Amino acid sequence: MTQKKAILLIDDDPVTNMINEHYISSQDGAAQITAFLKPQEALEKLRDGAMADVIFLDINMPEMDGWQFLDEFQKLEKTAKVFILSSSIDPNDIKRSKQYVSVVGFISKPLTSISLKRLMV
Amino acid sequence: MLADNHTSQLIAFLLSLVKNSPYGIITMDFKGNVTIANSLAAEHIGFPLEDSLDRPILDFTQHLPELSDKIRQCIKTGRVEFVLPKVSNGERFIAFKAKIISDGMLITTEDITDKVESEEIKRLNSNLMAKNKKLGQYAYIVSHNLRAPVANIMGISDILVTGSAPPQMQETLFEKIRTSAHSLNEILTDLNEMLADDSLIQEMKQKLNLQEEFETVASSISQQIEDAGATITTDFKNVRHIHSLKSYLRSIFANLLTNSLKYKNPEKPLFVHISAEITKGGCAICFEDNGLGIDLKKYGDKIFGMYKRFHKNTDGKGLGLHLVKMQVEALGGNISVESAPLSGAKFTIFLEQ
Repeated sequence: MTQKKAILLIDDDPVTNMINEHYISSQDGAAQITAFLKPQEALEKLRDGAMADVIFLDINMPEMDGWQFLDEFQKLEKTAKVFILSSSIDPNDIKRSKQYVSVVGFISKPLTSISLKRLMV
Repeated sequence: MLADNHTSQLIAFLLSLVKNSPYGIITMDFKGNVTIANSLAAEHIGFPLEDSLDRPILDFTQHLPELSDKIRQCIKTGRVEFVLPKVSNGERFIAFKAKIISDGMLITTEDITDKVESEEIKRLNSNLMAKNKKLGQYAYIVSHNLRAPVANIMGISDILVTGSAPPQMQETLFEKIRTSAHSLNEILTDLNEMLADDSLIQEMKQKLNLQEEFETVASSISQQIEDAGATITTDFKNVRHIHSLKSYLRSIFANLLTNSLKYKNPEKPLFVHISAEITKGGCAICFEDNGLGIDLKKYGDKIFGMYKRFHKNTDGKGLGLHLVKMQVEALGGNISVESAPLSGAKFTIFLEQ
């Protein structure tokens, strides 16, 4: 119960990461939160053996987008739950996200304390 | 007797050909009196076949003054071809061909209503498909690009309302609300342009002075140009004017110019050069900079795609080049790009003139 959760935030917008970090830490003060502006950097950390229980992933990012991240992430065979956190409300994106085993949810931005409560229990 | 019999057989055969022809046929002598007519011709023009022999053709075409005119014209010129819409029962399209033959005039008629209508349907269909594609793009922009700043504003105001944000965070949040509101406004402007009615383009085209149009655009974003420290040169001496749509030309200039400013190489001063040349069938406007460039090997097929961004840490919304491409194509032109990472980009826009 008191185990520290490792949470990765991946979004190219630093303010979004800041907001999400704020919400998550006010929900779960013990959570270990690491924010990444580039999915490539998160992948590197994971390849190096970093643990992750939950990943919040943006879709529309330059260079490598969220889908490309998921393709690479699947190869790592990690157990982390991935929540897509996108501003998109396009049903096609939701459908596409369901093709990934590791994706357990699709949240339309913004993350709120209510939606977070539902996820973190 | 045998010869006579043969001749009458031949005449009967020819008359049967006329009678069963898929075309309406009327012949007349040089006085303009009907010598042969079949029922299709009578139906297409709208006169009773009985009693039409030896009577002046113009008696039967009084309700179609245009047809009468064409027959008179044929007498002078030897041949006319034309289509009359809404002949006889008021809904058919009839094609007429008239020509002078050895002993008078031959008029053939053909009902081409189905052909005309299927072409009309084809045209409407391709219009609809183009409109539908645009609507799809519109919906995509609404659910992605437009949604992003809205989500930002919602998220930030939630935090501000609960008062849970530490004071040092608040300033950042207010600034983010401001930039989100500005990008909302930009996207709305883009959406508005996307739905502009392309069918009006042709009639709204006008003679435009390239230099003047470019200067108008540049002065509207002079602050950004100054901030980027950009040096901008133009060379329109080979093509001073083009015939085009003012709003599209300005939007194309504005998007390409802001693109150059946004993706300048921070290591060196930015130069942008815009020129125009006459090419086969029209003109080419060339837009060149020495900025960051784009890795076309990696992104080649996506560069004009919607909602694609290729550089990090910029506020690009991935719409600019897509909009440029749509507008260039709506003007009947095309756009191409040459670029490599760190060695600038060169966009060439070909416009028919």
